[in-house]
Amino acid sequence: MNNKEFVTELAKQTDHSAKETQTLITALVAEICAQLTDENQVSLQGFGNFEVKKKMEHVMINPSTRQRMLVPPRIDIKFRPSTTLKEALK
Amino acid sequence: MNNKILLLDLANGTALRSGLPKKESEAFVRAFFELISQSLVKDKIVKVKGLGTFKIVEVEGRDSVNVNNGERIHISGHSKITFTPDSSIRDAVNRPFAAFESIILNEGVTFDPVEEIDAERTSVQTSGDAQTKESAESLLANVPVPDIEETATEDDMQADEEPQLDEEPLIEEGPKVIEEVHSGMVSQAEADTDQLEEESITGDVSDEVVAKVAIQEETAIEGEDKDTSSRLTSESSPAQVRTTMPSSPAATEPPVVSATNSEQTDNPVASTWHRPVNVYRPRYVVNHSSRFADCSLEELDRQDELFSWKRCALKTILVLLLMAVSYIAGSIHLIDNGCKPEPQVTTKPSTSVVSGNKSATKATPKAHEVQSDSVVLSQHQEKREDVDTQVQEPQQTSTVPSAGTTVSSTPKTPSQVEPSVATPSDNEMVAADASAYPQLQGGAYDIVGVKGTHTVRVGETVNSIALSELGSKEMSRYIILLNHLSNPDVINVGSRLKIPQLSHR
Repeated sequence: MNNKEFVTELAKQTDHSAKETQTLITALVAEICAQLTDENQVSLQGFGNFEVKKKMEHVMINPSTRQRMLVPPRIDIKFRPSTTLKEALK
Repeated sequence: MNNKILLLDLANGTALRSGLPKKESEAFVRAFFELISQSLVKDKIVKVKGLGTFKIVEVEGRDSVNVNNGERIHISGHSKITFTPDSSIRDAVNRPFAAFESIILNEGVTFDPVEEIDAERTSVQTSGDAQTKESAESLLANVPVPDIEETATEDDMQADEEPQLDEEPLIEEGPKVIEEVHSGMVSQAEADTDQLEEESITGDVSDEVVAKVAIQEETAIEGEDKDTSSRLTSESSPAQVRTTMPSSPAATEPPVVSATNSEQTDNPVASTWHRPVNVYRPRYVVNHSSRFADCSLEELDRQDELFSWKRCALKTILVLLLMAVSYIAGSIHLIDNGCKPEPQVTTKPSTSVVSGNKSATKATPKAHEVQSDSVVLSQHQEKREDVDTQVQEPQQTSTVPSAGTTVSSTPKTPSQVEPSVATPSDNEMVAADASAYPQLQGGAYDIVGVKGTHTVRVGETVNSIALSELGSKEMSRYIILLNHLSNPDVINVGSRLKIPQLSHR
């Protein structure tokens, strides 16, 4: 389901127009982003939680070229699905 | 920071941003995530622009070991949910490290074994930075360091199994080197300690942090910093210093980082990788000297600015003054002698002018000096043709006219640190000799004749000959003058040098 379909589906379910839902989605995503930038964990019952994880720099070897690279430290976003969601899938 | 944001909080946030009433916003957010779950089950993939992509990935069964008791288990195949963040959100979150890039390591780059930070740091403290370090360390010790994850964890295993959108699946090097961010900020490609890094970064950042930190943080930290490090153990300060991090990382880290990063790319091999610092350890300690104690933030800012401006201004004024004075003095000096003040006057001859003889002290009154100089100079000019460049070192020739009175023409023998022969400030030079050697004006001896000759043997220098024939290496100048040696460093074996007969003045 790509973005467009998702938006239209959400619009239908929430009784907003497609444009409105798009702006709402943008606002929501911005909020999530802001929280993650502040290193807060966004935890949603029954869905999962988004958190940031810091990765130290490390040496990586490119498997094809065998070139050693030093990857700089990063902050990544991690999503951990909740058990209910995982069960729903199986 | 490290707070748990629940759905309601999220809903409130979106309500603020979008202008929707809270109730509706909450319903929306619920519906949003519901839809994602449902679509994920249905379609196996959901893409939300701006957030990222949720995917279901099938993992096949594998044999593994039970971590508790070590017995073999079979993990059956299953499906798992992956989330790949969109580039916009990814970059926003990674902003503190935005300036970093991967660098290619050449052959032979190794990493030193990890050492204790504290021991390493404290052992190489300079006294001036002792307080900084101490406070930094205690801050470090007390900050609950957020868990730094190494990439080979279970979560990352699953990431490895599916190719990342942006990276190739990369193999990690065997022994994981516990490296910290700080090594990425190697400021100098020097092999000595990373206190330099710390200093430079602490120095850089602390100034900026001062400017940006909020009031309450400042006073809290201020009160502690002025005293010993033990006082920095309060909870508030680490937390607050930390909060400064996200607010000002973009400003503080990139400037430092970009400078160092460019160095990295230029010469990654040469830099020795010191133990890197934990990613989120606040390195930038607000460290003000005690004069800032008991100041409020505004005062602090003002004072800081004032001080720095004042200091700069004072320094520059002082330097300019000195330059002007010396220039003026020099030009007066030379103008009176009828020369143009030339910029390339080498100070060497003039500074080395210590008359090796009787009374030439610079304490002589300047007018007198000037007069004597002019007398001497006129004679110099007369004699200039006689004592020609033969006796002058080629390099010094150009500066001789400008130096005027000083005889930089005295060729420098290798071991000779001696004063040039003439001193402008020597009154006694007024009575100039009618000898053919005006350079000797300042000398202690006159050449009154030729004592004999000496044939140069292998391994002899003018100095050694002077020593043997005349009793002192200082006398070499007379030999040089008498024999008109253009290059006293080069005397040929077998050549005959005239040994002067000297009379003490």
